[in-house]
Amino acid sequence: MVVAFGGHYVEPMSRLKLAGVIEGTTLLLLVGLAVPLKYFLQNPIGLETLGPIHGLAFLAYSYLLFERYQSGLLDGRSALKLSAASFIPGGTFFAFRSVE
Amino acid sequence: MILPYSLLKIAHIVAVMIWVAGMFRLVEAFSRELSTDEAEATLDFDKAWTVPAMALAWTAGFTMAWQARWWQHSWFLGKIALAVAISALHGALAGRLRRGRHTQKTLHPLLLTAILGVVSLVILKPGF
Repeated sequence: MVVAFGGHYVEPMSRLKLAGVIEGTTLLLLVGLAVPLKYFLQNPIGLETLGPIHGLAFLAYSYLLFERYQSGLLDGRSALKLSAASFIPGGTFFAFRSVE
Repeated sequence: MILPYSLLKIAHIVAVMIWVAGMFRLVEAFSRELSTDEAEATLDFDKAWTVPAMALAWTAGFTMAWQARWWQHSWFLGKIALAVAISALHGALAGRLRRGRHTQKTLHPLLLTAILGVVSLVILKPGF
């Protein structure tokens, strides 16, 4: 993904936002689809496939967030806000507005 | 996608080798004065090699852990904690270097200890 977006370190926040959207979407799918599938229809397939995907999406988002914080693009409070948002399904879709 | 475990392991180890090489390059860059050219060269190398290697190491490792349910073992949790620490170190150093917040520190012992820790845990698997 780094190579595909290529070029310079020009838009670090856009990349973070994209990671946030992916993380939020996978979490929504997990909570909204996979969990009901398991507990109401006794089918664990959603959890088994989406679980690891969301896990990786969350790790990637957290890492990128930490890097932006360390590079000075985000202050501590904003970084904490954006991190907390990743624990709420869909939180990352809106969290960036209050940070800019 | 369920891949053969051996394939994942090969990918993981090769990726880790490259990632660690990149970590040493980054740590070395922070141990002395850097010209703009040197800083750029370090960041170019980081983007081309270290970051993709780190991503592959995590993805392959994560998949193996999920397939073999390593989460249930304490040695593995220790290894993950160290892997997170090394990843965080990468994020901190690369991030600071990008924005010119580069200060001199000697981080080699820290990096070596973390790597020693990871490999020891994987080889010895205490408590397994």
